Amino acid sequence: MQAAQAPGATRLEAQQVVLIYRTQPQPIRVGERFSVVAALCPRAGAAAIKGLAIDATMPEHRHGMNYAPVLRADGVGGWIADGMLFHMPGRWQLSFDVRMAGRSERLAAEFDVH
Amino acid sequence: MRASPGASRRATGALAIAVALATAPPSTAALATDDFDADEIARIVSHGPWPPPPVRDPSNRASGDAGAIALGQRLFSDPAMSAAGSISCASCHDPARRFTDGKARAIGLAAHDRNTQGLLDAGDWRWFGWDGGADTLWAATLRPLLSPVEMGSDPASIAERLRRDPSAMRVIEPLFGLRLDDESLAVAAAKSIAAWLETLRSPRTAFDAFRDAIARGDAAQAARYPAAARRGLKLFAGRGNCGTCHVGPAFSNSEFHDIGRPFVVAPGRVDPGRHAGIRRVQRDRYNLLGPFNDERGAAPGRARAMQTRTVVLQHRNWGEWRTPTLRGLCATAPYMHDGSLPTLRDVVRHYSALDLDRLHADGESLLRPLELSPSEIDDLVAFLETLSPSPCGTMANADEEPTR
Repeated sequence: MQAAQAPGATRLEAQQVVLIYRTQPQPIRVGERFSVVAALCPRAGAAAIKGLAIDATMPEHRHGMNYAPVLRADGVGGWIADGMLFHMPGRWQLSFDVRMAGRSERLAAEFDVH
Repeated sequence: MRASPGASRRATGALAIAVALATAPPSTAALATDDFDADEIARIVSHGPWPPPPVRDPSNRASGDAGAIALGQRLFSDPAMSAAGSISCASCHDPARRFTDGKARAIGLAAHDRNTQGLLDAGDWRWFGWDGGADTLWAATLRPLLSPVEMGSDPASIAERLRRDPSAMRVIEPLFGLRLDDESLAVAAAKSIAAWLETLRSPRTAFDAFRDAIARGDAAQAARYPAAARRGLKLFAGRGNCGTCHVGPAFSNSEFHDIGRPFVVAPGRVDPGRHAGIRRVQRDRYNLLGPFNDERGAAPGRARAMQTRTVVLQHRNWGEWRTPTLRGLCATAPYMHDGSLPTLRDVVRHYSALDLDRLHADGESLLRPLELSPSEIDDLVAFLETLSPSPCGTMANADEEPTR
């Protein structure tokens, strides 16, 4: 399956799935809430996707967000995580845990937030 | 203790470069060759511009309403809003002291465990109080009105006070409705006070003039910023890493951190800080998830209530306190959640000699003792003082009046 990549979208690949996400708004700013819009495409022959979890951490600071985002389906096969907030400038890691029948895969992206 | 001779020579040299640049077409890049590198310049610029645009609170229908703002200002200083008729909001939040009281710990109708926080720029905050136990300015205003430790009133008494005041009811009824019950009237009073508070802005400072000069590449204006403050700012934006929590124009990320200050308030009694604040805001009838939130129709991701719905209670929240603004510090001593540090120099010394054993083992690994020299402590204090409109040690005067 080939996914169209929207402007500002980022593509992450794992063994079983390809994930494309973007944030609303862009860019992410310290102290301002944002949402993550994600689409998942299973690779050919991959197990069915059962669910998705989205979270973020600052590995260098050894902490995550102070908020647990609320995940909802966007109605067209994608996911939206609302309530994300990066409360410090610096390097953040955004992680996606994809649950499939009998296994899970993690995809992650790192970027600096100012 | 003053800066070392070497440091002074470097500062003089930097000043000379800056003055020389004034004759050439200015640019931020040129200033970056001065005593700040490009990253530091970017961080400095991120602390402005000041003041930011006016704020409106969608959860408060009185926000921005001229009549409610005037009423709120009047109620703020009205002792009839307290149980005994003896104190008002202004008794602790003294406008002449940047809305603090100069005491280590507040004294309302009884002794409080925490220092009185200033209220300027509070409209920008995400959470309110040292523990963030309120999620709006109006809920944070209602709480002390009803707290037996602070003003000790109750909805019926507040409602009675308002019903006896036709001019107040002429403002409240068109906004909040007719024949309001006691609780709704008390909330209307708190929302009116909050509507006034959110109009109060810190005045511009010497730092803001310097920051703006840097942003527009105005070396001549930038050169007017005191040399000691420049060195202190370099520590703040560089080695000190202070801007990680003291973020943006408000110098606060409006979140919570453990910086190794005590949370035992008396033998056998602790103040859990943010840990208690999250539990309190989650069960607060007046929170953004409750029936008094006026925000309607916001997109799911934009609704202000999202912060209260998604905030997470974690063990590390024990002993965490809200990051205070650094604006106007000269008028708000003593410092910290318990007022335990009398001067700005004491605050800087705390970070210089930070005791890592006092921090949570499972907390964030961000803080390190800065190990500042005496002259570096002087410099950092000199910088912090430029975030006030007039030097520390002087009383508030007309020039320090908050802006509207």
